[in-house]
Amino acid sequence: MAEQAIEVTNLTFEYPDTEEPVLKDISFSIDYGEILGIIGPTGAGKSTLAMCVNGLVPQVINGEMEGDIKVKGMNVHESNVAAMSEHVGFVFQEPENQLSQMTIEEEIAFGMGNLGVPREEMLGRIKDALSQVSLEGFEERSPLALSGGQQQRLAIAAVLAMRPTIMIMDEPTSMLDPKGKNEVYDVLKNLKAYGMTGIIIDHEVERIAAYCDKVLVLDGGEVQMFGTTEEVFTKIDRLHELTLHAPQVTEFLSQYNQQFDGKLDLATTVKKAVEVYESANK
Amino acid sequence: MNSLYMPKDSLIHSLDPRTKMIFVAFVVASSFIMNDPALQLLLLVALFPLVVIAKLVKPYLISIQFLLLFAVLIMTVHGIYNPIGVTPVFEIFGGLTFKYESMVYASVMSFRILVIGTGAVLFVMTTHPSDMASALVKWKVPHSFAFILLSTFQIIPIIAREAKIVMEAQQARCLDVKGNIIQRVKNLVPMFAPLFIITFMKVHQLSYVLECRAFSRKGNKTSLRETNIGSLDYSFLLGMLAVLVFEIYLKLFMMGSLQLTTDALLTYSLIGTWVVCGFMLIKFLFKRVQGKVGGVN
Amino acid sequence: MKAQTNNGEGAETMQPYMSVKNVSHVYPNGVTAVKDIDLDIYEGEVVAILGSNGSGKTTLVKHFNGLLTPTKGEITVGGLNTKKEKISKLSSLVGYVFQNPNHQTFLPSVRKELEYGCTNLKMSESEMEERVNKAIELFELEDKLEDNPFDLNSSQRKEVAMASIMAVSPKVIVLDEPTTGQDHKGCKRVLDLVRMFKEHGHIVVLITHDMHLIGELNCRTIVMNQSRKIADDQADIVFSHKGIMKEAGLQPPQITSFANDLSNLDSSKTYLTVDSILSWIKENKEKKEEAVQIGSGS
Repeated sequence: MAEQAIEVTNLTFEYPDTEEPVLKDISFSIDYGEILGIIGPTGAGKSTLAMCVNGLVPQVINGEMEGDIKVKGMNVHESNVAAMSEHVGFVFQEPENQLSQMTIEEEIAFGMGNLGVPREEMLGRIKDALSQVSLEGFEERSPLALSGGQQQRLAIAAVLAMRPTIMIMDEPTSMLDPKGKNEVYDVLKNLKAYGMTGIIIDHEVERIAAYCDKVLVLDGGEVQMFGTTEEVFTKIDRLHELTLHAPQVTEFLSQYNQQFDGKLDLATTVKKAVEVYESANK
Repeated sequence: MNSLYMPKDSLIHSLDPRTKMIFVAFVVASSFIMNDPALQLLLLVALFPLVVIAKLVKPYLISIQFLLLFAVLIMTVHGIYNPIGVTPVFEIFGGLTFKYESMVYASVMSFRILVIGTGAVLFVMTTHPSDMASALVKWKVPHSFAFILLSTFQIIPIIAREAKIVMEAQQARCLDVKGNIIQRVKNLVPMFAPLFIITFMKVHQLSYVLECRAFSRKGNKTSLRETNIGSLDYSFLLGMLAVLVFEIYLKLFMMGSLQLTTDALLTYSLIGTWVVCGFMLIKFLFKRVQGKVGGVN
Repeated sequence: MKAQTNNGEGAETMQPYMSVKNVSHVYPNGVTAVKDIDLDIYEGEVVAILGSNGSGKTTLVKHFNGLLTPTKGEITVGGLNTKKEKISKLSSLVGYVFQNPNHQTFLPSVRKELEYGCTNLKMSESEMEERVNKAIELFELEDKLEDNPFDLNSSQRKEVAMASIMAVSPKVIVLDEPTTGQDHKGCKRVLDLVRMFKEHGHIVVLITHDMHLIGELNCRTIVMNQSRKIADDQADIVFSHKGIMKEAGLQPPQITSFANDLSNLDSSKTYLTVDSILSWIKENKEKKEEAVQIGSGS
């Protein structure tokens, strides 16, 4: 098999103060340019899994780990988080907690400075990163004066400026209002166009279905489902067993089939669902 | 508002933070060398042009008001009650006597507060905290220390905001925040326990973020903000050195023959500070009354 | 647009429990956060307040328990003028559950959390026990009473915060973003709780961005935008006003967009849930079949 962007094999992880592993024998891989959505109930181990990929677990957040994680062919536990940061960017849930500098340009420059990027190059990268998240002209402002959506975009820009090839986002929009959510997802759409590889954790399956290529369903620390977005979201009964649900349109089509003996394909986006339904009900 | 920094385009602003840190040290040293009310006053007057150059006259006057309040207090209370005083100068309310030695002592002390205050205000208002941090790093102060210094500026407004939310959240749990002293002391627990936990969580999260931004990486670090010691800094430093040498010379050889401090000077400066404070008080009261009147409308 | 209350007829003649009259609030820094709001909330209502962050919804709601008092206009809650009452008194009528439970909970056990509000109100031992037991029963917390809230997961902690507010048994309960960060199960639990509160005779005020939640409840919905109230109606009616939705930066649930794009649905209606479309289709099919039968019968 050719080298994958992220390759996880038989990963098991246990926190020191718990009796049961939080991740159990997890294996999956994603290719370059793919976006993976991770869904699952609270406490399923989604965040822990994401933090394994850049080494935060177990290097900073301690515990007992078994198995292998390879990012771009490199073994993560032979490296450290700081070195991994050039390859894997991480965006957290709370926008404000990720910001520590006085102005927006300094916030973006902070990570680069730690990597030793020369000042002349920084200026160019700041410009690029700001345009990628549509915050041009905000250089001199204080990060604290921004809205939640803008702060989260700034956090993304700060990560982008370090030029990783892989982005991990742990519920990046759950604290934002609808406008902020849209802003952040618009940025994600752009990243996908740039060929970035990504992992997104989110509870909003409608968004996951619209933006991700693959979906991994985690429950009780185990991979319950893994496949393309279509494969996962069309297995509705299985999702319901796991107290999850498919996008509303998929739920609708499935129930329609049940109630009216229909044979509609289970689409996962509004556009496709409309097509499917309209062509069957002319 | 993150810090007291006032971005302006001025010569003082463009000085390297290190020069300005040395300047603060110089001001402190000078205020101790010039151990005489008249010379202190001279120093204060001499610093004022720098405030003008920095284009900070108004914010400077606003922030120095509070120090002036201290000065008035010290000068009045010490002038009357400090036991070192022997020679009476003048009397108020028939019985409260200001004595020469006490007044000298009090004036030196309060002018020193004003002088050091002026130096500090000049530094804080003209130096971007990030520049200060990177200047410190150039002086081989560890990165993590400079970062802590800087992030303190950032977290203070956040904590202030969280404190307000916690107070409201506890009031929503029927806690009476307006009570007697005992009640208020009891309220400290429901106020500070959540605030402490929240701050701890924020800082904890930030530590992960820093890790992901390669903060613990060994090796050379770069900074967006460049601070350089240029010719302006050198001339400023030379100027300070010259003044310092002169001060020491004055102190060592001229003190005997030079007698600038007189009864009149002490009295006028005391009355002067009273008048300024009186003005402040009237202005404050006026605003209060205006606020009340406005509130009714 | 006149608000239609959930309990239908008779509401107009009833006294509102909470009445907001021409209220504006200007913060000391000069920012006007809410402007000219008129609002009556009646017994038995579930009211959702929507709007982007900074639109004034939280400022408005903070007036309900007296955390803020209007700089113009006046608010009465259960017949009391909020300007003249203590916050603690008002908070016993209007329970306000904050978004982040960490702002509210800090005691070492769930039981202590539940008792805290009653202690602040200096209730008698027996009354406290009665109220706390009611909350324990309502939230099914029997086996968690001695747990430390910080050992619970985030959605359980949110529920403990909610229970501790309910333990005072306020008439009105305000929930600030109850579903934020919750998984599907947690969101469903919130939905069930809201319905349960209503059944128990509470007025529920929801501040939320969760359109699925509002879709399921199809409750009275108030939309705030730039400090003003721009809509106040049943959710399906509000969601059908494209102009208002756009102005406030709101997106209806996915199923509503889907229904809007379908050509053969009854376009005069707005569908907020999967079930509502399905039942329409069912009805429509039955009608068609009837029509066919009648047609073939004649």
